[in-house]
Amino acid sequence: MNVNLNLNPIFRAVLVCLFVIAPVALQAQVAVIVHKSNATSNLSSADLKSIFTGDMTKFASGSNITIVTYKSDTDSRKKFYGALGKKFTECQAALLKRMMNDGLKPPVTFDSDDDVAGYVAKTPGAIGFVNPASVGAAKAITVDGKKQID
Amino acid sequence: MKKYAFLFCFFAVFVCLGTRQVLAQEETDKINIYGIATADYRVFGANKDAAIGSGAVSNTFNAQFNLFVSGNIGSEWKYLAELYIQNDFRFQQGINSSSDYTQPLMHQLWIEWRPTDAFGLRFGQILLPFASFNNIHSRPNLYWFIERPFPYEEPATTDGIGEVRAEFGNLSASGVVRLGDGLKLDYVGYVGNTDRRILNGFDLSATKTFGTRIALRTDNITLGLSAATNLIGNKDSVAQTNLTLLAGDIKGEFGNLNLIGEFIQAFENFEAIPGKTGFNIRNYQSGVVNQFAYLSLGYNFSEQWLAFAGFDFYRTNERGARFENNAALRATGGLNFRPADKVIVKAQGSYHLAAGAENPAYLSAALGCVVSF
Repeated sequence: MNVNLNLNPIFRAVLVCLFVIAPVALQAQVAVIVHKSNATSNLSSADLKSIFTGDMTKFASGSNITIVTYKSDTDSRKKFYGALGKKFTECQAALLKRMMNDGLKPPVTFDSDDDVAGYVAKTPGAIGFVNPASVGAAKAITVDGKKQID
Repeated sequence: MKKYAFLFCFFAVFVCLGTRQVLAQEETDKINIYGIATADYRVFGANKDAAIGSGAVSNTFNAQFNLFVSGNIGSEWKYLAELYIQNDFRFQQGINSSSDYTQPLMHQLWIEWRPTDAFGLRFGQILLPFASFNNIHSRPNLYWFIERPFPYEEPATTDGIGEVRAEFGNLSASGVVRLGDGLKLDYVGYVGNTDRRILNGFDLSATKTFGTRIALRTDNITLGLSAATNLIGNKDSVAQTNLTLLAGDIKGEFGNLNLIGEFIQAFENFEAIPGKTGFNIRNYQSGVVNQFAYLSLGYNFSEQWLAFAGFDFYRTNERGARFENNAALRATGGLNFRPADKVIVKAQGSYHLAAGAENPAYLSAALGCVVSF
């Protein structure tokens, strides 16, 4: 059966955006997530750097922060540290320094976005980052007012 | 030792009580255990110690293990204990021996009250944050070299400050203050009265230390200033060393290029301990000034590979110094390979120059591996 779709070029471009570019763009972003009981709804990118290098160990409420990240170099990890403007190894070295000298709680690591989101969803004080499609029962917060970072 | 025994008991009870509370809480507050294991093998093209006349050493095998136990007790209290074991096997003219570092040492043992990131009080046995010292001294996973810079290597061609520094304090106040977007101030002030590990039988009660470090940081660069005064003696001494240390340190990250550097000036004098007799100043040289500097650059070719190069400098005015010009230099370079996130394999080669020494110039090479867990 032959179907002849005679589409308007503008409509065709919209379709391309919807079905090709948008999913790629969505994949290119990560959402920062916390536990639902966490009152934090927005962090600045400077806050985020401070958290993932161990300088900021408490949320504004005073509760201790638990960093949640990935065991391996997943897409979310690459995108997150790329957006942060820091190499993963630099952040890891900064955290190790804080762990050894200041008793910082070691990051909790998982293999997948779903595991990260699942842990954050059940752990008050946890903060992680996942593909927006994997937020699940955790609470996504904004960074510099944006829902996702890229 | 009584006060330290008290301190240890207090700490143990505190941790036990806290642990009961912690274990009943959510998982985020559980006890954390982590550490570093490292091993390296070093070969010296000429006698490493010949420059200081203490015998021939052609190669060494060093092993180090640091075990950390930390945890939060509620939202404002935390504790840290660090057990440190080092073994430095020396192969000297066919005779194998190991150093006296083999016994496990309690490197850190403290509790901290930290209501905010900007302020905290720490009490116990505390590693002093003088310049970069305690990061480099026993933290081989944080820096790229194997043979540490002059101020921190066990004295080879130099009189490292390692022998006279006060390594531990007992009370400190510290914090990170955010001064603006991307600008932070680190500060710490400390006091203490011991420069040795408290649990290995020393009680150097005449030793006291006071010091501070402040550092300004942006995302890319850290500039720090440190100052410390150490009065070093022991209960049998009639004199004590008065050591004043000043230092500036820098750390930078510019894309793939990283650098660390430091300058330390140490002023050393001797003085009688009040109430003791028998001190004869003529047996001592006062006004000794030791200067140390190093700059090391690292370049990340990728997340796995890093190349580094550095330069060390030492100078002293000590009488009877071991080299004609009272100065020693070292140029060093090497590679790091990171096959996994927590594993680093390192290689390093160095050229040592100590003018006027018996062996004024020689080469050394080292190969090592660090694993964090």
